[in-house]
Amino acid sequence: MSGEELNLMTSSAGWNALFGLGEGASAFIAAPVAFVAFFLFVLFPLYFALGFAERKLAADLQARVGPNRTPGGGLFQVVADTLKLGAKSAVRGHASLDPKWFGIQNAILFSSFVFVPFGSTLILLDSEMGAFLPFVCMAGVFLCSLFATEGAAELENEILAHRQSFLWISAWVPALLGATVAVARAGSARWSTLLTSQAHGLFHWTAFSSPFGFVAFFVFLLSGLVALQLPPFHSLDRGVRNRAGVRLGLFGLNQFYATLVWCLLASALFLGGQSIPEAGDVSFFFAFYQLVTALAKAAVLFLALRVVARALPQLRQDQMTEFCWRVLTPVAALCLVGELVWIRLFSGGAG
Amino acid sequence: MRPLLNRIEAAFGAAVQIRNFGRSEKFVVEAEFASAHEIAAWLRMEENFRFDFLEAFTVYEAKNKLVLSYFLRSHSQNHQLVLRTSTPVPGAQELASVPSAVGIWPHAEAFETELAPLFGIEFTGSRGAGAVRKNFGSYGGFPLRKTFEWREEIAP
Amino acid sequence: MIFSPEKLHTSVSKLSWGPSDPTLPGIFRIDMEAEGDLVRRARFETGYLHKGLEKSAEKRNWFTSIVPVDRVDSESSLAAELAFAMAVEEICNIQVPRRAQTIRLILAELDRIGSHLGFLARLAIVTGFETVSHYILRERELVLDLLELMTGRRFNLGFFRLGGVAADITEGFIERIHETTRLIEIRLREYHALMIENRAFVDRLAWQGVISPELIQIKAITGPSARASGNRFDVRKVEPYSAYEQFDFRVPIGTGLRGTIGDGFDRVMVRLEEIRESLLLLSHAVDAVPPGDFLAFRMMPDFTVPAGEAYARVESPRGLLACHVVSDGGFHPTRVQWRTPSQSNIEAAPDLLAGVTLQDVPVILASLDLSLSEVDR
Repeated sequence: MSGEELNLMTSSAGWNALFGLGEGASAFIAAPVAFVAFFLFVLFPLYFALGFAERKLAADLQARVGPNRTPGGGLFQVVADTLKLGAKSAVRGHASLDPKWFGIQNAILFSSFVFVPFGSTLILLDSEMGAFLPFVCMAGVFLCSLFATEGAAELENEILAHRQSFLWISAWVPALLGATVAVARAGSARWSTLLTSQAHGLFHWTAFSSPFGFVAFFVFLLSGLVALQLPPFHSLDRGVRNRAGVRLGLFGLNQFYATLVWCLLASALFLGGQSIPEAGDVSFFFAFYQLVTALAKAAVLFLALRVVARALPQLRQDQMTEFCWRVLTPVAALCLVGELVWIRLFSGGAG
Repeated sequence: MRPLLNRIEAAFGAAVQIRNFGRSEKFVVEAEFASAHEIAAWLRMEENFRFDFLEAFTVYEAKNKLVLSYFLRSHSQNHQLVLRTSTPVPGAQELASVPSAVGIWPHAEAFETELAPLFGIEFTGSRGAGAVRKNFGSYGGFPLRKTFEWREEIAP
Repeated sequence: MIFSPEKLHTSVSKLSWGPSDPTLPGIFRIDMEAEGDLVRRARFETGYLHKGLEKSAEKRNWFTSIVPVDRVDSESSLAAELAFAMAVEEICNIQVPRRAQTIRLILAELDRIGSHLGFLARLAIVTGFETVSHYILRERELVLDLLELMTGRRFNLGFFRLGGVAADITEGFIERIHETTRLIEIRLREYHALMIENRAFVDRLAWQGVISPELIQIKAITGPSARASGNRFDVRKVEPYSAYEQFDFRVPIGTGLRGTIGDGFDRVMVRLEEIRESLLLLSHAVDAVPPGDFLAFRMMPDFTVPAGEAYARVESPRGLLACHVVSDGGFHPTRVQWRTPSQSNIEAAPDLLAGVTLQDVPVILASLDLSLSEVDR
């Protein structure tokens, strides 16, 4: 199978190796196994661990103690909180979210696992437009959030829905432009190509290959957080106003997953990906190394973002929209043009 | 200040009596109930007084009368004065009728909306509750009147 | 243009926040009519914290009458205690010793600093600036520790008595005040850097909730919220009480540093400056405590107040607070009525909310520093 075609075999060979499924195992078997195993053995432990780490770091920053009640010096606080939320009832009635759209939103969000690159051999779906698939997923998540809150008292008006749409578009555009910088550098939107093109050292990373790549990294990161309404760009506790119990717990998990995935995408596009040179055979240890490296980079970014979020006040939605249109979008466009010129001048026209 | 108060006496004659307020050096103008509203407006507009700040409006019940006190201050002239009037306490479930001072001092509304349900006063000429409504619950009477009966349970 | 407002279908939403809402500054309800996320009209309903303090005062004898007074505003209780004590002392013609007057001043200024720090912390929380709120509350703990050292309590202090204060200056209190004022002075510079020079924080407050001089006149707004709009009225200067006439201090007013005069940002700046002035006042006052008694007389349970009345006013952290006390010569007060600053200041809130976005509502309300305990009593 040529590298130009849809590659379901090589790109998911790492998942096969991780779960001992054999080299030729079908992606249709690897996918559900990987999905379940990822959630059980990676996502939930990371959720609990990073949640605790974030709260302890925030506490240090804020001159207080932080979680310290559960065994291990507060290590299981997030576990305890999740169990507690599970025992509470959800909000019902006029102000609650439409469960149908809430469910669809969760399905779209978690289905992003299919095209998230955990490594050059840990991609379930490696297509020519791989780097842009997250933006399609983001659009679906946003639309579902609009429909899910349509029945809530505060969002009856078109004007408010339009304001939220303006905000989302204003962030989606610079994020897309920022991703395009990395695509231009790599010469392809295929994840495996994007990752392997950065595998030859620090200065091959998109962020360090040119000043435009460096700036585009921050633009991509910030824009994605605005579009997904993640801290520090979330709206003031309105998200938790209509949720309680299991839904609130799920909302927290959604926020964590969305932030983690966006950090993964940022590290894949700009921070060298997860490949190592001279891969050779895709063995268990190779795949495991890729997975750990990918998650470690994402975790560091996640914690840095959450710590910065704690240290900043919140902006109003129209202020965020203005920031995106007036700052992020022009900067992203400039980075794209600059990167193209840089490639032309210094990389012999490659890409 | 005392010489200025002679103007009030000159303007309203027997309708007012001026004396010291408590032990302080400030003065209280005790006005007949029928003239009090007119005197209040006069104090607001009169060039030598210009009492533009109704600092407080208090009500208390004494000797079967509701005593209304307007604590006035003039920012421009740096004067202070208390305008006082009284009206008989009506029956236990009846409302006393008092002209509203909102037309003279708009900020009187804050005091009137609070004192109306507590003392059972209807401030005539007022537009009713403004943008800030005071809801103290229902007590089956007017709690701050001396004749109010305390009961073990008060119906909501 | 497709997004021109006249082409969009609009309808008016009715929203109700409260009475228990984490974004509101107290227990009250707001009923709003909003077009999209712009508030068209707001109506408030208060009374949820009505404690019947004024009626309760009539049921008590004079000996215990000062006890519930600190519930007028739990956070800055000394202002209400001082106003009540001053009114009764005037009726009884009690001369409060100079030492007691100075102690009252010291505690009142500590109370003011604590209240303003609480205001800053609440505003930081409402703007999502929780890290700074923790720093500010850390400093407020130092002030509360000082109050606890002197009075035995952190809130609802109940320390002023008719004729003076409950106890003399505790050992170590003055030294601790010097340490604390020096530390808070340093921290104020940090808050300045963290908040005042933070673009995002400034953008949330500048040009928001502008109180015009006309609105001050119409609603009788007093205190730092009025001084932020250029009104210099401060009872400590206009009618000095306790020992304020002995000390020189500045009354800060708004300058429109970032937005315009009288906006939310100016209300923050004025309070920061007032903390600074209070620290200065404190450091002078503690070095000038005269010798003498801390209490003019020891009140007995059968104490009565002669027939008469008095009206005493003080400058509480939120503005002009006054107490009208009437006595008929018996064992119980005939009437105790309060004039609290929040009672008037809250009347301005609906006007300030008209035309703002829903996200700005909590910020503007927090910037007014309302105490619903004062409003409802």
